[in-house]
Amino acid sequence: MGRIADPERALRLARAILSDVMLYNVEKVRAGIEADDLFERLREELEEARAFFDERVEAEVAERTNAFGRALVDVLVFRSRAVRSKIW
Amino acid sequence: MIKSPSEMDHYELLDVPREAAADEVERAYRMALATWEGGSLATYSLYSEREVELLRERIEHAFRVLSDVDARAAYDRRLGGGQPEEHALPLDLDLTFEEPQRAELLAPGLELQEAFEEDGTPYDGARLRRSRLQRGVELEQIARVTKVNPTYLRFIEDDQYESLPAPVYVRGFVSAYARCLGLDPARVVPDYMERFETARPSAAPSLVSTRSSGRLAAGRRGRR
Repeated sequence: MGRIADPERALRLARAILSDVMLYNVEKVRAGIEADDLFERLREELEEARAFFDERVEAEVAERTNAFGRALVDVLVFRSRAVRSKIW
Repeated sequence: MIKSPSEMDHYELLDVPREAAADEVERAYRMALATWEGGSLATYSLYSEREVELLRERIEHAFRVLSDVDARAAYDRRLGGGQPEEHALPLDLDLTFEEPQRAELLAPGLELQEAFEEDGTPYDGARLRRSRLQRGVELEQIARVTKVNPTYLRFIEDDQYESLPAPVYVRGFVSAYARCLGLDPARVVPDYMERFETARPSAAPSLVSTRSSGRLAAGRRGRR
């Protein structure tokens, strides 16, 4: 199976991967949002997620679209907006 | 070989051992009902509404018998004597999978032409999850389309067989999951159910499980 070259599919893949990270780490995400150290707390999971994403998406597409970074905000941060935090 | 509901005795239908205590029977009954509850049923894609209705009645009947001490004793005597089972209701669900894949069962945004994959490895939970992620489909999307409880979908992907309900339901769940991803249920279901039947302990199922790693890499999750 070739690498993904379509930006929409790349973004969809990133969202699915990060949705799983959130699903399997609900408490960590909540604590990370509350303490404003989400990315530090999820460092290992996010590195693994990023590696999985990079294996499947054309490097140029990944870089140009910043699909992973966008999905990171959309999925992990935006979906956690109900959590009380000093960020918002 | 998985029996069809029409061939199962009451214990098999509720997925409890013959010696199951009353509370165990009740727990299994509630789980079976929840599985087949209106609007939360994956296997509506496999069964007609009438078939589901009959199955629910069959589950109700099994529970009524097994939760009544006298009725259960009489039933056990009949089973022990090898007498033909007397089901209160006719039920002959066809559990073969001859329906073609249907586009309306695909997860939103997924097109059939991008859905096929061939890597030859058997379909276990980890492979199902990889297939899902490769298609960019979130577990919640599958839950919405198939109406399978997302907790069960996670158990399927984690190969947590002991946390899943009776085989007849799991078969329907896995089939619905496969269809949703555009996979061929005729290939996916036998693979998955073979592992399920090999690994599944005889104890009654429990919804409580603490094993869940959520790791992404192939071969690192759900292994025993």
